[in-house]
Amino acid sequence: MLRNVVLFQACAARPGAPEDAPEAAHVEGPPLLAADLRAIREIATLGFVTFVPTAPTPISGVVQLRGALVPVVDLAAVLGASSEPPQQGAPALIVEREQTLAAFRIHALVNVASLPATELPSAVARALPAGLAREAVVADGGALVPLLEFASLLRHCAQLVATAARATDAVQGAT
Amino acid sequence: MTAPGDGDGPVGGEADFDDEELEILRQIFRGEAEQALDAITSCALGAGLERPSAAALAELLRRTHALKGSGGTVGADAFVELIHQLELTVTGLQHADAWPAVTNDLIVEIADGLRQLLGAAGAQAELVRARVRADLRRLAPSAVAPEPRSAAAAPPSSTSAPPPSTSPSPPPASAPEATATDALDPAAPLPMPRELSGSGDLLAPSNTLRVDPQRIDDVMASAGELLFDRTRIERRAQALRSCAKEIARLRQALREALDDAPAGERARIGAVETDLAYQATVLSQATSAMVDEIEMLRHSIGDVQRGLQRIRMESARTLFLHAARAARAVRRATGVAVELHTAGESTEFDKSVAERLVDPIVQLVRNAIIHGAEPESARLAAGKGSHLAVHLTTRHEGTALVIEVRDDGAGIDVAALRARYVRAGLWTAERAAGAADQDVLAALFSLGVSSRDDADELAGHGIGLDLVREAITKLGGEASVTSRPGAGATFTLRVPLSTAITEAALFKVDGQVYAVSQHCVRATLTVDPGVTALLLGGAAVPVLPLDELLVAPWARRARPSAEPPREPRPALLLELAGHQAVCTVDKLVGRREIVVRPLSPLLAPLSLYAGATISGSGKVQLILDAAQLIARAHPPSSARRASDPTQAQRRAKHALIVDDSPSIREALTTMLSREGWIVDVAEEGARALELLRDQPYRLLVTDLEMPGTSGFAVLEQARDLEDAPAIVVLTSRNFPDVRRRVHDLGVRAFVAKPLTRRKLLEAIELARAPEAAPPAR
Repeated sequence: MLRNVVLFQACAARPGAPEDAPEAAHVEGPPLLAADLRAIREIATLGFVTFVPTAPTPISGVVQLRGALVPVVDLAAVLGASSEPPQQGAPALIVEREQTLAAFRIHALVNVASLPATELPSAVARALPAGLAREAVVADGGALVPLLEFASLLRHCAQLVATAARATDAVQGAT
Repeated sequence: MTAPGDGDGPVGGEADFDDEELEILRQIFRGEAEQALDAITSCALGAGLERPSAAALAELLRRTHALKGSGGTVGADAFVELIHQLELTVTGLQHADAWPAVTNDLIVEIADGLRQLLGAAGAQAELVRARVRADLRRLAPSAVAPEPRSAAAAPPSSTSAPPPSTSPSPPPASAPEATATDALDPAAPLPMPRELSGSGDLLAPSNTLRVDPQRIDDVMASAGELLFDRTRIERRAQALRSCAKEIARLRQALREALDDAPAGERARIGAVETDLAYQATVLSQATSAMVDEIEMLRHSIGDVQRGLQRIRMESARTLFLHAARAARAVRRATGVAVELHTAGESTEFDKSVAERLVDPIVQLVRNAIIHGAEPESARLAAGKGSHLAVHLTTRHEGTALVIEVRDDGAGIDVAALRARYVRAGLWTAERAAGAADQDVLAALFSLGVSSRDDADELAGHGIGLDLVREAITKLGGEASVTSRPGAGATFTLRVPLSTAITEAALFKVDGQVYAVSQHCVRATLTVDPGVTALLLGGAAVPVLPLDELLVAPWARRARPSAEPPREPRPALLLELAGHQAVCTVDKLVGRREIVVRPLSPLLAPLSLYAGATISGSGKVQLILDAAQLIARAHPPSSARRASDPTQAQRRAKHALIVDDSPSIREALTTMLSREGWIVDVAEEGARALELLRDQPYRLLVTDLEMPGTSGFAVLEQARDLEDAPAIVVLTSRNFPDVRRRVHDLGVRAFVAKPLTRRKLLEAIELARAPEAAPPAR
């Protein structure tokens, strides 16, 4: 079955071992990733990103997008790379799920294409944080590109934020 | 008064709701029903003469089904009977080959009729019902039950004996579900307060306009954008003024040069200077005019914002109704003779503020009765009336709303409170002995200690005031208390009229601008390096260096060995609910009027932030929560941590209700409050998940079908919590596949709407029973 997908790179190079996110998995698979076109509300260029102290590492900050406040998620950091300061002008995939809007910061947009979908090999699936991809698309040359599930990604981020909030409250004794 | 239900009568002879509770419920149901009927109308109208889309039909059927559950719960039997017929008919038509052109018009007519039925009484109601029935017959002649020919054939009324209890097994999906049959005379109108009652003219035009609150919020946000535009224009005006000054300086230099210039050049330079003077005058006049126009713009923006705020305002009436209900419930539970007096019903404040004030006010009214109660003989001996008087008043003071709950009871025993703080290890004996009475009373809000010696299910746990403080603090307000022995206590809440626009103090830390509510800023000062506390007004106030709290990980990596500052640092003195903290910053920016926006739901668990605003240049600026900053500056003592009973006690009977139907939320709150539960409510799944992440609950009662995050998503996350609550599912989708899916999620307690107290209590008992009990299918 053909899927309309956005192909992109989450980070410039193959992610290394995570520094600040020990719970995140190290990606061994190809650096190319895919997103179902229907899951993407728009592809935007980020403006000034305001850093949010006490947020977990993958949350780069908050950005204003036509008047809406949108949290920026560093997709590379979610997948295990170390986080970098957000750069103005970086591309981002804008996703809306369950009334939550989020901008997933990526390194580069590669292509938009209709590609055949298949089950993601378990070896590649295991290298990603649980449930973030179950399918793949077959790119030119036969390479399998994980098809990210943004609902799972948002849930994963929500859990990271909740954990960080509890940890901060416990340390600061603010509860 | 009898209990609505599907065959099961009142528990132990007690009705589900008393008359006043039922009146409140029916008011809420009326609003809910009108919205749902509007949606049904919209689904039908949107399709023209064609069959509505599958999505529109699904929405239409969802609305009719939800109304059946809500209507049944509040005993609106006549309405439920007709909406049920509409649902059956449309379900039948849904799969028919043809969709006659008149169908959509008939659905609209029926929705109009049902809307009129909500406000009709007696013979008028009978007429409307007959017309709706006729329309239903035209819609699908075979689907509508014949009109009752006599009282005997009508649905059982309150005077008829309830039918024998039926099996709890669900009805087949295609069968009509049981609805309220034993509550009221089906012909009876929904009782409404005088000002809401129908005038008798069913077709009288309405002079109100119902608007989706989101639309108002959107316009409010747009009006807020005008503030940023104004700031940008002000900056440009400032630049033009600088330019005019520079031209003046250049003219001066030119005039000086003119004196030294050769005679032949003087005329030419003089002409240039004259032109320059003319242009400088034009620029100066234009700049002045621009400044005047900015001032006019400022007034206009203010008018727009005030106008929008007025649209969002509602009176204190609803708040008073909740308080009256709470007073009645406590009176019934305790037998205390009490009179609730209210004043300021016409006081208006923002709807979002009103909603968040309900729980604190209910708590304070309960407290006033339970703690203020005295034996009648003691009251009479003290020259008071035989009934405890509780006064609830609301008024405006500037941009603040002030609410007072005052009783003429026994007052708070301050000496006993001092002893209790010491016994609980919260204060040292020296501190307790030296503290002023007012400080002892103020500590009631934060220490989790009750003013009462004994504890029962109603009070004495020291939890209520903690919740009051939390809710008021979240609104950016303050709570205070005064008391005189033998003369009663007065609790005063002071909150902003609106939370959308506020004055804020802006400051910079690590290159980023932050804001904090100006309402909490007492002073600006400087703090020497290394100082951890300042002596202010005789008390040691802790210093919180914000550059340590608000630092990015990459900044930390970039300067791991950054030296501490050597110069005095600017700081803000914050004060809230009697607590102070000094926060050092890099630079004070100034005071601004800002539009407060909620942070994304994704970031909502981060309690440090009260929201965000957008600067004139379009950057997001985070608003820090002053209460959180103060709390972080005052880490709890080990004694407090060891003895803090708040969390455990709050959890003891803390329930979360999740339902998108206001009527069902209100009915559940009434029922659970009567059983001694402290109740939080969420109107949709996403909010429920936030609350579940924030605090532990003993009980979760959730609907399944809600817009946005569904009840199933709530169940999935709730069951995985470390300390999962007992779960009761409440739904109108009483179908085998739904029950199976709920069961597969590990939930054993399932209540089919319409809701009755007996069904709810049985389900709670089942949900809280040990795991060995077999799951209910």
